[in-house]
Amino acid sequence: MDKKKRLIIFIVLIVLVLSILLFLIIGNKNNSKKQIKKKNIVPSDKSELVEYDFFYQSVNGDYLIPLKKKVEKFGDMKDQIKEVVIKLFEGANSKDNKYINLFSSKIRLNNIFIVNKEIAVVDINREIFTKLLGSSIDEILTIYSIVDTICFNFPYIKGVQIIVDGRQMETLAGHIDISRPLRMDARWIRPI
Amino acid sequence: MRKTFGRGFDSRRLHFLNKMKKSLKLKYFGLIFIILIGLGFSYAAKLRYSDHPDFTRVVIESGKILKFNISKTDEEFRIKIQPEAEVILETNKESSRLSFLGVNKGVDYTELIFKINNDYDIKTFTLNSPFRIVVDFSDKKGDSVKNNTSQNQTKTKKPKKEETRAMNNNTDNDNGLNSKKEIRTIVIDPGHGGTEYGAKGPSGTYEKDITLKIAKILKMYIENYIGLKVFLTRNSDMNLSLEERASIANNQKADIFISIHCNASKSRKAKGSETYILSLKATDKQARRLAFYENNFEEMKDDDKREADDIKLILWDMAQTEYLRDSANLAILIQKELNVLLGTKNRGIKQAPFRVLMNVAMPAVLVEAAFISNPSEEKMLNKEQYQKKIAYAIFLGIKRYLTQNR
Ligand SMILES: [Zn+2]
Repeated sequence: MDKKKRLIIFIVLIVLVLSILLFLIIGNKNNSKKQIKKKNIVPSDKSELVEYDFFYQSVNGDYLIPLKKKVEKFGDMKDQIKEVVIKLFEGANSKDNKYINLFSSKIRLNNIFIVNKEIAVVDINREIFTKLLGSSIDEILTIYSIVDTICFNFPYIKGVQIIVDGRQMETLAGHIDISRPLRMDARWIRPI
Repeated sequence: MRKTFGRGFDSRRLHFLNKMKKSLKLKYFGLIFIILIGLGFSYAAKLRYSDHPDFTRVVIESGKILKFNISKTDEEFRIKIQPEAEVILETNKESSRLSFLGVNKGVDYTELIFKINNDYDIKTFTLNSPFRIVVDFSDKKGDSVKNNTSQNQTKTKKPKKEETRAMNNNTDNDNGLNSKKEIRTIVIDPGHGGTEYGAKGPSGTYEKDITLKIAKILKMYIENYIGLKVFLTRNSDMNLSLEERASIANNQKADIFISIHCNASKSRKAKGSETYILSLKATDKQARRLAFYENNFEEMKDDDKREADDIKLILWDMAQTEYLRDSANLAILIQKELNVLLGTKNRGIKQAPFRVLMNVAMPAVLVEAAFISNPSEEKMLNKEQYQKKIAYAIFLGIKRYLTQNR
């Protein structure tokens, strides 16, 4: 009797866990599909590319250095920023080993909102935590890689607020306040 | 004609803006509301300086015409601008002739204070579109001290420090910035703790353990050698929120707040110690782009002016704001000692929006003692001798600060 009950509970649990996993996988797939779909709707000209400056951590020290990369051109500013951030998360992928990857392939951009025409709210998934070292400079560079890349390329964006899975955060790793939008800070950037 | 620096903003981008969607999702209204509250308007005065072979140029740029006057002592150069403005330091390199100490805020003015390393010929002039105050510090060749300041400038007759101070006290007495308060209590904050262990070294050292050890040694030095009251925000391995840390310092009515951390980087080459103060980061992006590409500022024309006029800043109404100048002084002194004592590469003093520093109503710094991610520094951090060295360097910095404030 007791054994049977336990077995049933065990099976139910396994089914639950499996369905949650399935849900998560499908959910993620849907997300990336959405991004791709949007891409196909808005582009103004077929496969027209625009060049932007991306800021990645330098292997030589604790600051950001620029890297020019091309992304598809969009008619809508929000979509354009989105595309740039997605590209940023892909990492430098540069032949010269000048750059350090601050992000991982699992880090996803959930969404971007433009508030008051000048604040970009960047919603990132919680994978961002797994890549952080828990130190100040790592937190600073991760944040300003995003903030500076957006503000530098899109002059109308005066501030960037980072939120995680739709939730406003105090800090990412216990140091830097991200409860309000942050301005560009070029002091973290060095020319190559 | 207009020059585009890197990814300049051009008509194409304007086009994007026009097409921008205005609909926003309901569930984000709360968030938007919070952000809107955080928005405010203020003037920005952008400060930058550059070293040249025989002079150093300091430029203060603003979207608005500023009144100003200058004063100079043997060690300090001050420039008072009116109306008050949010000063944004855009240069991160050190100058060989001067260093920016911080600002002194009055009711309707902001005073920028520089430490000068020598007696220079000082030349002041203004430029327009956008408005800029330019101050050149030239190495002295003869005895001629030229000075063609355009507006109500004070003569560079070298007033004694006391005079300058007295003058400031007259105009300042309502914000109490310059009233020298006796330093009695120091709060030391060992970073992280409990389940929040901070950074982790390659052989498993936790930041939270090292910070507590250094903090305890520092407490001992201060109590034994200068007899001030010292409180630690945590005395054991426990969780403590950033707000609680700040409120402990405020409740103790501390005169100095020092948060201790160890750094870690994905760059294997990173090493050394750094001292941070709070950054009240707010600026427009055109200027940032300029600082980055190190272009000739005098070439800025119409579009840039329009952008400068268009600056909207977020007001950071934080307790730390009015202590920032003292915080910078303290940070400089601590950093100097860290560089000397540890023989580490000079990483300088830095600014970032540290949450723990925002709400402390006293001079406050955050020390990043070495890189726990660097195998050799991790090894050293585990040694009591090295912990003592770091604590002693911070202690000496505090001691210097006390004598300076006496
Ligand atoms: Zn830390």
